[in-house]
Amino acid sequence: MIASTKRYFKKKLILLSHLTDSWNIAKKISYGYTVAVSITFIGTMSGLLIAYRYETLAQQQFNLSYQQQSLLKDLETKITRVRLHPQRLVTVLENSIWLEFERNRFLDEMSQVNQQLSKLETFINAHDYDSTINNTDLLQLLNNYKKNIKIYTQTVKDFWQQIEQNQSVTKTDQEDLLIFFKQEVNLSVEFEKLSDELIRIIGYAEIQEKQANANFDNAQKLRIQVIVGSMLLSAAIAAILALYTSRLIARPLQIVTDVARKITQESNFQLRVHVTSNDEIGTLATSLNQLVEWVGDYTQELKLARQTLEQRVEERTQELELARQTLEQRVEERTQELQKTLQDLKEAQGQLIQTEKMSSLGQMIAGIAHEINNPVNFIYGNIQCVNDYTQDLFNLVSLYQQEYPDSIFLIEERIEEIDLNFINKDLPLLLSSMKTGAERIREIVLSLRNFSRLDEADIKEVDIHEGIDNTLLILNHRLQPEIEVIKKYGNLPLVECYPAKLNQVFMNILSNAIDALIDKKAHSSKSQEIIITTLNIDDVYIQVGIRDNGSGILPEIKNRLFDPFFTTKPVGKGTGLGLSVCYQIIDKHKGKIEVISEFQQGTEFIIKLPIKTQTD
Amino acid sequence: MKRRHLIWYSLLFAAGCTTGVNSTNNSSEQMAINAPKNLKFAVTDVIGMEDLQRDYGLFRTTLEEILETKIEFFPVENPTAAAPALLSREVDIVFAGPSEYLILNARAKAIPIIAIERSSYHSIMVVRADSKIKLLAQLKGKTIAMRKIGSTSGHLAPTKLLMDAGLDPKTDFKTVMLNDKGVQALKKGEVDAWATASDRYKSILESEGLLEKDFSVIFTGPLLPSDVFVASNQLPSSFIADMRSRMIKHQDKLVQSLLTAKALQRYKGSKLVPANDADYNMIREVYQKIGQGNFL
Repeated sequence: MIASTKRYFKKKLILLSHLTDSWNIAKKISYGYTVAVSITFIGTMSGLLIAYRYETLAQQQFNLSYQQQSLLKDLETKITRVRLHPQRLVTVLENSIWLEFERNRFLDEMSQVNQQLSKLETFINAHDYDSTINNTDLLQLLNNYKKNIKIYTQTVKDFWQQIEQNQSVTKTDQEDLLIFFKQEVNLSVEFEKLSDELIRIIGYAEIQEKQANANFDNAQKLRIQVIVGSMLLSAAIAAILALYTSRLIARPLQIVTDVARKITQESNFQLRVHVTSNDEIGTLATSLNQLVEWVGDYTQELKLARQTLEQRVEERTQELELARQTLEQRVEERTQELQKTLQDLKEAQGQLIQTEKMSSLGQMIAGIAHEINNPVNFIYGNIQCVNDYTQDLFNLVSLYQQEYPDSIFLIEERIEEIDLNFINKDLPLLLSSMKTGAERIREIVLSLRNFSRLDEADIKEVDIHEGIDNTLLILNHRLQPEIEVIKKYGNLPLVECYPAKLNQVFMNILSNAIDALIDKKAHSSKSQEIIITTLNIDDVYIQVGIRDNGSGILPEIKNRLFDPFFTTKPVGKGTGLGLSVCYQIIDKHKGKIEVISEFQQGTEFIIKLPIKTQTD
Repeated sequence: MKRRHLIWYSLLFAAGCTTGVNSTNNSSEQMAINAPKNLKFAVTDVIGMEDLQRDYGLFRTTLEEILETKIEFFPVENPTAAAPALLSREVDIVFAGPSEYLILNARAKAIPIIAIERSSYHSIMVVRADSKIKLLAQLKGKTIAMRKIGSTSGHLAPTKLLMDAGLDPKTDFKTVMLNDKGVQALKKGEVDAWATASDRYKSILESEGLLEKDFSVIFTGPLLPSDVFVASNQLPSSFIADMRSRMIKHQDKLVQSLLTAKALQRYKGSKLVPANDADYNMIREVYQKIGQGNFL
C-alpha cells in the first residue's frame, strides 16, 4: 500500500519535473511562490470565512438574546413607569396644567408600552422557529400583558373622567381615589405575576447570551488556528520551494561554471556543457557551448591571421628596405644632378667670361685689322709702280751709257762710288722683298678678320682647313723654327658650324700644343712637331686630330682636363678655361672631343664633328 | 524577474498577510455622534396632522433647505403632549409658546434654540359690547372662556390678570377651555368673558364671521414673551449651535414662509433671535402664583 503510493508520488514527481523542464527559472520561482502565497491566502481566507460563519451564528444568537433581553427589559421598565401613573397623578390632582401633562404622559407611555408589546410580538413571530427564544411562554406572557394593560388603561381613564366630573368637589374625589387604588392593587398583583415570569424569561435570555459569547470566542480562536495553520503550511512550502529552486538554479549553474573554468584553464575548446533543461540555465549552457565553439574557431582563425600578418610584416619590411635603398639611390642621383648642375653653372660662368673676353678681343682685333688694312694696301699697291718706275730709270741709265761710252770723270767716279751695278741688281730684290712683306701683312689682317668673325655668329658652312690655317697664321709668332707643323689634310666637305667658335677651339688646342712643345724643348733635343690630320669618317662625321710629341699628360689629371679653372700652368699664365670652353663648344656642335695621351710620348686631341649640325 | 512581476507578487503577498489582520478592527469607529439624518418637528398649539401641514408645510420645507436635513411632522393632541414626546425622543424639535416652553424645559430639559419675537403679543379680556362688565374684578363668579390648558395668552396670562385683579382662580370664577370657539360662546352668552391674544383676536373674529363692534376689550395685559424653538437635549450641541446660526442667517426666508399661512399672520414683522431662558421667568412667576409651580 505504502509502496504503491510512493511509486505513485514518484511518478507524479517525474511528470512534474518533465513539465517544469520546459519552464524558465522565473516561471518556476514565481509559480512556486504563487502556490505558497495562494496557500496562505486561501488558508487565511478560509480561516476568515469559517470563523466568520461561526461568528455570525454566535453573533446572531447573541444579538437575538440581547435583543430579546432588551425588549423585555424595556417592556418591564415601561410597564413600571405606566404603573407609577396613579402615584404621580396624586401629586397633580390640584394642578390642572400638570394633570394635563401627566395624562399626556400616561397616554404617551401607554402607547409606548403598546408599541413595545407589538415590537416584541413581531420579534417573536420573526424568530418563530429559533430555539433561543421561548416562544410559547413569551406569547402567552404578551397576551396576559395586553389584557392587563387594557384593563389598567380603562381603569385609569375612568378615573380621569371621575376627576373631571368632580373637579370642584374634593371630598368625593378622595373616595374615588380609594376605590381606584383598590382596583389598582388588584391589577398590581397580576402585574407582579407577569413581572416574575418576565424576569425568568430575561434570565433565560441572559444564559443564551452568555452561550453566544462563548461561541463567539470559540469562533475567534478557530479563526486564529486556521490562519496560523495555513501560514505555517505555506511557510513550510515556501521553505521547500526555496530549497528546491535554489538547487534547481545552483546545480546546473555549478556544472556550467565548472565546465567554463575547465575550458579557460586548459584552453580546451572541445569541452561541452551537458544540461538538458529548457530554462535559462539550459539556454546559458547552449550559449556557452556555442561560445566555446566560436572561441575555438576564432582562436584558429586568429592563429592563421597572426601567421599571415607576420608574413605580411616581413614583406612590408622588405618593401621598406627596398624603398629605402631606392630613396638613397635617388638621393645620390639627385646629389649628382645637383653637382652636375653646379658644374654646369661653373662652366657657364667660365664660358661667359671666356666669351666676353674673346668677344672684346675679337672686336679689338677687328678694329686693328681694319686700321692696318688701308696703309698696307697703299704700300702693296704702290710697290709695283715703284718697281716699274725704278726699272724705267735703270733702263734710262743703261741707254745713257750706251750712247755716251766716254763719260766724264765725275760721272765715272760717282758710278763707282754708288756701285750702280749692285743697286741695279739688288733694288728689284729689295722691292720684291717689300712686296712679300706687304703681302704677309695683308694675309695677317685677313686672318685676324677671319678669326674674329664678329659678323658670323650664325651657323655657316665653312672649310675647316681654312679655319685651321688661319689659326696657325695667328699663332705664327709663337711657332718657333724648331717646331715643325705637318698638315695631313684629307678631303673634307664644308661643315655646318659656328666658325669663330670652332677657330677658338683650334686656337686653344694648338696653343696648348705649342706650350707643351716649348716646355719640352728645355729637356730634350728631339725634333718637335705638330701633326694636324683631318679625315672624313663617313657621311655624317668628320675628324680633326691635333697631335704633339710633347711631355704628355699624367693619367691622374687626365680626367680633370676639361674641368673649368683647372690648369697646370703657373699662376698668371693660364685661366684654366681653355679646354673647358673647347669642350662646351664641341658639345654645342653635338660633336665629341677626346684626349689620347701617353706620358713622355705626346698628346693627341681628336675632335669629331657632324657635317650637318642639326641644332637650333 | 521583471519589475511588473515583482510588484504583482509582493501585492499578492501583502494581500495574503493583511487579510488575517484586517477583520478584527472593523466596528469601533461608527459610534461617533453625527448630526441626525432626519428631524421630527412638532408645533404645540396645532392639533392634528392636517392643520400642521396646512400652516407649517412651507415652513417645514424651507427649514429642510436651510438645515439640509429631512424634517418630518409630529402631530400632537394638545399643547402639553409635546413634552412627553420630547422626553421619550419621539420628537426632536418643537415650536412652542412661552408656557409650553416652561413645561418642555422643566420636564424634558429641552434646549431653547431660537425665539420669534412677536411685536404685539398681549393677553386681552373680551366681553360682549352690551355687557355691563367693564373691569376684571367684575368677573367674580362669572364663567370665562379660555383657549387651552397651559396656553400662555389663552390661559396662564389671563389667569394672572384675574389674580392681579384680586380674584382667586380656584374659587372666584369658572374657566372653560373652548379653544377659538370661545368667541362664539361669548356671543351666545354661554360665557361672560373670553380671554385671548391680541394678535389673534381679529383673525379669530374674521374666521368665525363675527364683527368687532359686537365685542369690547376690557383689559390688555403686558407684552408676553416670544414663541420659541426648542431642541431635544439628545441632539449634539454643535448641531444645535449650527441650527441656530443657520436659522438666524436665513430668518427672512423662514418668517416669509410662516406668513404664507393665514393662521400665522401674527408673525408679521417678527424677528428671529437667540432664545434666552431668563425671558420666561415672568411665566414661571404665573405658574407659581396659580399654584402650579411645583415642577418648575
